[in-house]
Amino acid sequence: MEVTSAQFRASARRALGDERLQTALASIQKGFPGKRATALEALPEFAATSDHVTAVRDHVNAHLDVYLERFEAQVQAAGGQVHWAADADAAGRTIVDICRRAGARSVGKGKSMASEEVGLNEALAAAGLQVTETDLGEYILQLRGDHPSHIIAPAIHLRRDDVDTAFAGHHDAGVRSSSSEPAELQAEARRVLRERFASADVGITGANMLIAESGSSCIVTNEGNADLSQHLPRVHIVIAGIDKVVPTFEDASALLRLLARSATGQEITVYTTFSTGPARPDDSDGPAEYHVVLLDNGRSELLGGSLEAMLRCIRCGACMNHCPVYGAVGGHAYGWVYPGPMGAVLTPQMVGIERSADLPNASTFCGRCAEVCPVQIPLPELMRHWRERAAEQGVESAMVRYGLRTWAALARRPRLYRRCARLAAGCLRLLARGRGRLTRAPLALGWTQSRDLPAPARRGFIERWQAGER
Amino acid sequence: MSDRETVLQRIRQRLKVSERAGAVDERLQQRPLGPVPARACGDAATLRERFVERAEAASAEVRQPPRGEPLPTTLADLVAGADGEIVTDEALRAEWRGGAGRAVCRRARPEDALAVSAALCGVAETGTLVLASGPGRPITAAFLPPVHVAAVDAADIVGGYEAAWERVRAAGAWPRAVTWITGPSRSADIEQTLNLGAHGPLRLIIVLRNGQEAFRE
Repeated sequence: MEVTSAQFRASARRALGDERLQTALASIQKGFPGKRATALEALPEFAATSDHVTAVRDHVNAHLDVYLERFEAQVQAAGGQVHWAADADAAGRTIVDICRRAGARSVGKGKSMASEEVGLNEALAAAGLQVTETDLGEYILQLRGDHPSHIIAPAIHLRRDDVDTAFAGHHDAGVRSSSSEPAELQAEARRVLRERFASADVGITGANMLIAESGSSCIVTNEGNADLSQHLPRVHIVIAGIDKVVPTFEDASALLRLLARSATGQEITVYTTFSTGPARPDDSDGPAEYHVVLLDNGRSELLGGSLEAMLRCIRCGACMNHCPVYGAVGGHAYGWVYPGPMGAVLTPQMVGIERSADLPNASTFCGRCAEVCPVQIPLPELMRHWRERAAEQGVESAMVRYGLRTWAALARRPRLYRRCARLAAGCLRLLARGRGRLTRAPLALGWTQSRDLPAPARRGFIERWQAGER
Repeated sequence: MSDRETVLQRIRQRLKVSERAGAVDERLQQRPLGPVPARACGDAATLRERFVERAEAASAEVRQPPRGEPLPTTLADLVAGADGEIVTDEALRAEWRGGAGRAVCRRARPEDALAVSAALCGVAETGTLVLASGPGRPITAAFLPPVHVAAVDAADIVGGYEAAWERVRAAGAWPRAVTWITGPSRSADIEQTLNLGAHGPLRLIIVLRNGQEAFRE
């Protein structure tokens, strides 16, 4: 996927004027946070579980190499294969190779952010494989040549008529639904995708967790598509970040108590499947091959540094569901795979801060993301880290750089600062001509284009403080 | 250098420590529990009640037949409405002999209309069924047919997920797939409108029985 994070400002402005998108975003902010709050209220142990899981995640990160080795050994003991991918290209190559060796022509794919991150669909298509996304939202996006705008609700930016149009362009008349009611469209996708599930040679899924004690991958869905993608085809390939490991099923259970509640406000997703190796000799069904591709792609660089807490992330999406900036501009404006506050931390790591310097600034630092994060990632602090890196590398605009430098020079000289402030306040009062507000102000068009600027009071705070008005 | 060595070396350089295998192996052996919620605790009757309540809250239908009633009787309405073979577990097949409906134990197919599985256990805290794949236990049965039935015995209702893992560990060789199922398949991907039956079953029917521990037979 092309990185367009550098155009954040322009994309955000477009998004703000897009009425359809604004309706969709309003529904996210109305829906998810309320459902999450209700679910948390019904589980008094949520906070204690959050503490526990946060500690487990930190423990694993501090011993990550050993946990990965244990996981690998257990996958192999169960008859599966582990492949390591240092970067996106390696992941794509590895998966294409597995498909080729299996003589595969068609691939059924569950939703996986790691696969989006490495551009897997493009790599598979280039190798001549026919790939079908099977998550309903991802399937719609694939037909449209579109990308996810939310990590758990990928097609949140679309409306029913967008879906209807996409289906009309790709489905035979025989399977078309009679209306554009969501239920009808969903049934239509079900009819089309059933045959794809059954005929896919390879199934690819992501993983919500990898369990070290047994070498299992765990994947959750509400639709059941990841299950059909991993129980039916002859080959099952899992692609997962190296940060997905948990030690035991007991740890996985604790994490699962946080995941759906934080994401959709469900107590648990409909399907939670733990897969361990390929089918046993007498099993009634299951794949003959089981592969896990462990993806680094910049994750290991987060270890041991000030961004390490980001590796706790369980990809629930609570941070974006509660973010006023995400809620205003949506996921596409962020310009890459991961949107919202977690994306503002991960994207600079994975694509470079010079290509994404606006993202850590796309925050009011209100702190809601950190409050709702089930693994207590201090997201504003991590965004501040990237702001500092951007400043050091001088990747922000010259205007911002010189503006800040001037302001800093003034702020270090309180007397001068106050004199300038008084002068500026006086000028603004003159411009307001006694109306108490300004409809246009020099250097502040960004403000006055959409609202009035209140005229400063005659006497400022410090003056009144010094005069004893307390 | 292989990608494996590259990744492991990167991690070790960042962590700046060499030998921490002891702490890892100890944790893997001891498997410490996190906080187990109060809703996962209680006597058998409480857990059974909670299981039914949570399962129904997740849109599953729960049937509680009289002791000893064979599945074809409990499921007569579904069998009458389903054409073709009924995909089922080997352990349940005997119950169908002589009755209506042709029960077979095989991998499910897209055209199958009804499947009946035996659950390993039920979890009260969220009304979740635990299914495991294995010989005579096609896991595809839980996903392809539009109607999925899972039989579970009241004696196999446990409180929380941790207790469910104890059951899986006690059941012998580790199954390729362990699946937790909470209600029928659903999606809200179109305009956040929740609809049942996305790819998996439109209906999930739980048959909660007494003294018929099919999974362990």
